[in-house]
Amino acid sequence: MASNQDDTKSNDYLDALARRLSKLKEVPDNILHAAKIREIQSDPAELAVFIDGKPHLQEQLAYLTDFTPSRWLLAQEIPAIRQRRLLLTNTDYKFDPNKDDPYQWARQKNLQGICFSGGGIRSATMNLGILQGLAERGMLSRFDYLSSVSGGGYIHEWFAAWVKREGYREVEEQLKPLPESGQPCQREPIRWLRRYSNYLTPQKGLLTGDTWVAVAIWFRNTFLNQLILISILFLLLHLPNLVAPYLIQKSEVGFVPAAVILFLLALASITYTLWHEYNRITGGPPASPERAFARKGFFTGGNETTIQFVVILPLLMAGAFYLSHVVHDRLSIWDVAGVFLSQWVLVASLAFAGACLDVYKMARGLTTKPAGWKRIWYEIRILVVGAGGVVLGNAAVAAAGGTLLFLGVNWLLPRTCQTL
Amino acid sequence: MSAAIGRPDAWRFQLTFGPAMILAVSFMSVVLGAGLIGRDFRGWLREWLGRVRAWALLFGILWAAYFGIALLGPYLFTTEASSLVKHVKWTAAVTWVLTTVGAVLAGQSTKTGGTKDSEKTSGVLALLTTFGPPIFILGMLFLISNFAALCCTSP
Repeated sequence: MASNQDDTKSNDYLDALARRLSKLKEVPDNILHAAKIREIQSDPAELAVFIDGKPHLQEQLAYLTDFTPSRWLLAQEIPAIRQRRLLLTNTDYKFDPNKDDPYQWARQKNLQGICFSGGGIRSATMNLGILQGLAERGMLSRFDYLSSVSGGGYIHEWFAAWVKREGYREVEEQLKPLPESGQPCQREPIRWLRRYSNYLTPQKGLLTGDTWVAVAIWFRNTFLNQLILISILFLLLHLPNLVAPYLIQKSEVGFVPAAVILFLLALASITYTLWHEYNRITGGPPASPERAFARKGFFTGGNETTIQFVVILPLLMAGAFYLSHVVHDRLSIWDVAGVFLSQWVLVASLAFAGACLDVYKMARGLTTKPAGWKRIWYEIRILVVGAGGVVLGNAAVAAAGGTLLFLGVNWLLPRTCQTL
Repeated sequence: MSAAIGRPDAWRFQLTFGPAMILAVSFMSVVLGAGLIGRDFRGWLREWLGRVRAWALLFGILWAAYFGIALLGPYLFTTEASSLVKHVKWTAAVTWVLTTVGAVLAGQSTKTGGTKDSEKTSGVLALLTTFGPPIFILGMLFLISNFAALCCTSP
């Protein structure tokens, strides 16, 4: 960026912009008042007077010269930031206005700011706590900017005034919270702040205007806040009323395929997660400490969130979708067989990881492994004989139990209302 | 409103309790399978599955609570739903209001300062501050579900 030292020294953006413009080789025709600008381009003072009061022209020229008001403002702020940092950290973060770009400098020097929002005395109180917390951790001096609005401005100006009177380091030290008991009371500025915390209602008493205005404001704000909350709750509680008729009463829509897909998704997820868990637990110590503390993946490491969202929730939703089929007493022998099969596969996959992978691994270790195509038959034989026998039989019994329970639920659900 | 919405339909009960019951079927099968395999079933997986089942139970309860309040809440205080309601309706409403107001006042009391000093902390007031907010939230949710039903059944 072809910068000019005068730009940062000037207190007037338009003067700085005019100087930039006077050095421009060519003014394009599509700029407003292009002819006039070319005519007076060599005289920055006259240019500044001409562009004053013409915001659209200023906007065009700012982009043309790559010199927006925010860039000018940042360049104006940098000396103050440098001075402050030099004072607090004894480090001079050099900035050459002829060579350095203000935005790049700000990014490289990691400029930071705190913003205090509004909210009357509540905001002031909370932001005092934030200031105290930052002071306690020695982080307050890291911030270059403090921006505030409304109630945040109250604590902002209180803090700024205190710093102006006593200095930054002293204030940071005094802001640190004191232990709860056995210590002298807080510093005078903090006590003063608390003493005048009724600044929004300075006139006390039941019949004063301040009191009743505060009460009215409180009711208005509370009402508006609660209105948002209650509207959201209203929507959430009304949603089942909108969805339910489609889910239950209009069963012809046919949600069974969706239920099957969700069940298969849950089954695949739990099997895949378990496979990783099994390898993690039985795989011995990790190769390196970094590996031991490595970030676990979504499906690996037995992540609870994974289980909730890809196993339990799909199963619950599968139940909800299947409900439309169940409550209409339309179960056929295929339904019963399907439920049995799904339960059998579920139990078998879990039981395999829980008991039989060990048997399988052990059997592989005890026997001599053949080479070539015979290896496939060998693996299948070990798997079926060593592990499968226990799993498949038990899973069948468990699946039969689950199917009976399902039939019980199926019998019970259509009769729920009649008994109540 | 009570007379307008009458007795709850069967599907409301089914959708409230059905999915959780169907979810239980899968987990009961898993419990049965692990039990049949016995000591050969590895301990870590038994524990792992125990935690998964606990989450499943929580999800089931959450489902039943959410759908219960939304679909059955408006019927809770209708006389058509239960004759018992006739006797406890106003008692429950007054208790809810008193608990809420009591919990707010108890929260402001110096006897519930959150300190461990047993001389200063009142047992009854501490109990009120513990159970007051959930009771208030529950009552409010029932009121909103009633309001939603009222809006939808009115001409």
